[in-house]
Amino acid sequence: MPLTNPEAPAFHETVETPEQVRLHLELAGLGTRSIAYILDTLLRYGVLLAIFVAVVLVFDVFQIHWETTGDRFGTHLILIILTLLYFFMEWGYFAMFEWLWTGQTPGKRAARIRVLKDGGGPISFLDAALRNLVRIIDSSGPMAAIGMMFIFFSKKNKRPGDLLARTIVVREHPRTLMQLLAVSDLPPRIPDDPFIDLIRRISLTSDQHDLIVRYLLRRDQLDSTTRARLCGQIVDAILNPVRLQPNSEHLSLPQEPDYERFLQGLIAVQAGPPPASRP
Amino acid sequence: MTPTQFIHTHKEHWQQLESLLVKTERCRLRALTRTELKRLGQLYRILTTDLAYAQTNFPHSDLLLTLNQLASRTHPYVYRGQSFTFAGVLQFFRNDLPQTFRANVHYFVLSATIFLVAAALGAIAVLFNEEAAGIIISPKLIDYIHRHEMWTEHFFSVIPSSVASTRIFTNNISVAFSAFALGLTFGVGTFIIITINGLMLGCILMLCARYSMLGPLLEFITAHGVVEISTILIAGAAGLMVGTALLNPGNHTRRDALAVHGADAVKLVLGVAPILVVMGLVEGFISPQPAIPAELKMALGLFLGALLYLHLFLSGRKSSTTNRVS
Repeated sequence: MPLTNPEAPAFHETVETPEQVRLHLELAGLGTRSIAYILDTLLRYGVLLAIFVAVVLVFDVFQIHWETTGDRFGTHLILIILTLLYFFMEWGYFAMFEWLWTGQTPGKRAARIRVLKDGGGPISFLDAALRNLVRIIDSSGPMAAIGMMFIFFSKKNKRPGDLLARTIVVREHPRTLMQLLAVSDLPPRIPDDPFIDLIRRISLTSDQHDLIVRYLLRRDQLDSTTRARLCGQIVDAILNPVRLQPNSEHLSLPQEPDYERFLQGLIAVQAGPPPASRP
Repeated sequence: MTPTQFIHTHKEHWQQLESLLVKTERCRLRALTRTELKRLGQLYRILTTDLAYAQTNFPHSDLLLTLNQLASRTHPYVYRGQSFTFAGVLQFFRNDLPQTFRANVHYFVLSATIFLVAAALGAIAVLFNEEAAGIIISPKLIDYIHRHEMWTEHFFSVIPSSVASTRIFTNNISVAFSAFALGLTFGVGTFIIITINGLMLGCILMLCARYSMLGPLLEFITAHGVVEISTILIAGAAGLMVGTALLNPGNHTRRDALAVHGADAVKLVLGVAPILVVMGLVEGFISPQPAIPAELKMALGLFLGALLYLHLFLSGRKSSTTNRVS
């Protein structure tokens, strides 16, 4: 029972790479994209507001009024920079970040999503500009309702800007490799494992393997009753077919306190030398 | 081979790839050395082989999911498009922009026609009834004209030229970008922007003519006006392109027409933005300057206008034919 099925067609974009391998990209939904947008907007206007307040305070302290004081303290330069900064936050922020950060803005990075071309490749500067110049139509202020409806109802979660620039927004899960390796790095306990004979008789399906690995990874977060109950269920499911095998009476089956040790041994033995070389 | 065996035999490659990837994600590809960059490509290819193996042997597994995610994270870095270089930008303004303009010149003609008709309507309206100007022009501005004063003199006596230039060009670029984006309203929004600008120009010209202010007005607007209005009309043309793609997609589906026209339209509107920066500087520093004689300002305006249209209609012809031949 995998949490996310990589083969499921819904909300996925399948991309064929030049190596003739199919990549499954998980499209970002309305919720994730809204979170990213809200973070970006808070950042844009937060920075603007902070700088604006700072300038007003400094002008106040030094008794500067830019219309009468003239160009003392580089007042004009400050006004020019404020104007340009406001313009940048309105029109340039999204396009510049998506171009420089290969499809991500600070908000998108925090929400772990990325803009890609329809074929899975990176977006160019023109794509980034195109999909973000039309934000006044589909994602700024009340117009966001239009973009949200498009993302919700369209087949590949596209707002008008995505249709124009032929882009998709995908989710990324950067931590999973570490999790996967964490389990395979469990200390091997093959030589002294008391259940070695039993373990050699079992061949795990890939679903069973995933189930055990997930259990072992998360067992410390479970309370002791649930932990014992789950562990018992998993071991039963694995041992039941063995009990039906001929000559199984003389095997020493693991008892309650040894269940987790048995599961660890099972995974560790499976990690041992492969039976045949890879085709 | 069990999933765990598979992980054990191949994990070093994946770990190496991931550490290179993390480095790249943090500080772009430039952070990698030449050997690391090469290694990234190699490791990616190894990973795709592992992925293909996992797809066949461990369908629906966490392992497959993980490898798939790792590969899709690396993919956009391995297959990058053209990077942004100074030569590329130069090439864009020298060839791409005029070529795109010429390929879509009928949209520009449409945009200019809407503008001129609106300007004529505005002028005629004010000619017959002076009050009509109040609909589209602010009452403050009308007061200045009634008093035979140029409102620009007041504006530039208060705001220094450098600040004014910045405000003018950021505002004009916003208008240009909006005219393009509003093309998505089936062109209605773009049409309204062009029409309002045309009406305003027509009304002000006619109003100034009635109060014998035409001389000072033309002295102020010609230096920057010719190019500035042209660039807004080009942005309008970009918006009309997007609108047309939605209204009349031709042989394409609406979705495809939008993408095809959008790619051209964005070139026009981005190409126009730097021109508006220069025009903002002209409008801030030269147009309101009483020391510069009116004839010189008009000559400058006509010269800049001629330069713009000569560039748009003549540049990049050679390279477009060579492209077609090859």
